[in-house]
Amino acid sequence: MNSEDVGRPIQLDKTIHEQARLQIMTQLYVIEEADFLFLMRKTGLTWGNLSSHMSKLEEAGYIEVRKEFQEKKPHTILKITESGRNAFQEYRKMLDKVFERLQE
Amino acid sequence: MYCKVLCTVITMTNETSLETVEQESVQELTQDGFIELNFGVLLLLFFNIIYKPSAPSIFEAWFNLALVIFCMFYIIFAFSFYRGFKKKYVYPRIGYAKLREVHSSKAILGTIVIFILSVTEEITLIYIISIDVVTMDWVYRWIPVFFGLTACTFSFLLKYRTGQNRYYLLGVLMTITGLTAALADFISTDMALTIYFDGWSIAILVLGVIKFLLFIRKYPITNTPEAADCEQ
Repeated sequence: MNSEDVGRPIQLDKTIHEQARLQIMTQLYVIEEADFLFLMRKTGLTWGNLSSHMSKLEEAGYIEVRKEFQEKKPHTILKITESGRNAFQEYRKMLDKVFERLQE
Repeated sequence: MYCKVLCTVITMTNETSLETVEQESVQELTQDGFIELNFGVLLLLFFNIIYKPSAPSIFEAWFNLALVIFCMFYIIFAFSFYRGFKKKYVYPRIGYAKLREVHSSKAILGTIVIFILSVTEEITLIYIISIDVVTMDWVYRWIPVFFGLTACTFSFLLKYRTGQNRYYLLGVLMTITGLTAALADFISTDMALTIYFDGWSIAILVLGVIKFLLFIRKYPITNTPEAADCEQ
C-alpha cells in the first residue's frame, strides 16, 4: 500500500456494498447476461426484492435491462455494463485495501 | 449484521470464489443433458461419415449420402434447434443465462498444448503412412485411441468450466476402451470400431436423455410474476 493512502478513508461503493446487490453484481460479473428467473434462483431473492435492487443498479448505470417477449410473455434480461464491471473491480480493489490495513 | 455482510463480501469478491460462482452457474446450465446429446450425435456422425465410406456398396453409398446431407443440416440448424428447444423446455424451469467465452490464460494454454499435441499426432500419422510403416487398417484400428485422447480435451474443458472432476472420467474411459478395442485382435477392425463408436454414441445419448428427463422432473416450470401479470 502507498504511504499516501494510509490514514485516508477508504470509499466503498455504496450501491454495490449491499448484500443483495452484491450478489446480483457477482452473478452478472461471471456470466454474460441472465434473466430474472435465473437470478432469483441464484441469489435467493424474491421477485419484488430483485426488481427493486435491479432498478437501483440500473439507475447507477451498472446494469442494462432488456425487455423482450418470449412466447407472448414478457422476459427481462439483465446484463452488466462496462461501467458496472469496472465498478465491481474497483470495489474488490478497495476491499483488498481494507483487509491490507487490517493486517497492518 | 455487519459481520454477515462482511462474510458475504469476502466470499463473493475473492478470485477463487468468483471462479466457483461461475462454475456453479455452468453446472446449473449443463444439467439439462444437452451437452451429452450433442456429443452423442456428433460421435455417431463422425464414425458413420469418416469410417463407413471406406467400404462402399450401393446401399451404403445412399446411406452415406443421406448421412452427409443430415450432417450438413445438423451443422446449419443444430444451433437454432437447440436454442428453440432450450427456450421451450429449459429456460422456463431454471431461467436463462448466457455464459462468457473462455478466456482465462490457463484454459488458453491448455487448449494450445492439446492443439499442438493433436497436430503433431496427425503429422506423425500421415508421415508413417507415407513411408509405408503402417497400413490403413492399422490406422483404423487405432482411431479409437486417438479419439479417446481427443475426448480428454473435451473432458479437460468441461472440468475447467464446471469444476466437476467426474468429467475426467469420460476422457479416461474413452481412451482405455479405445486401447482395448485397438488391441483386441480376436475381433475384426470393423467390429472393434462399430462397438467402440456406436457403443459410446448410444451410451452418451442415453445418458443425455436420462439427464434431460431427470432435469424436467426436478425443475417444474416456474410461473414468474411478470408472466402471470401478462396472463391476467
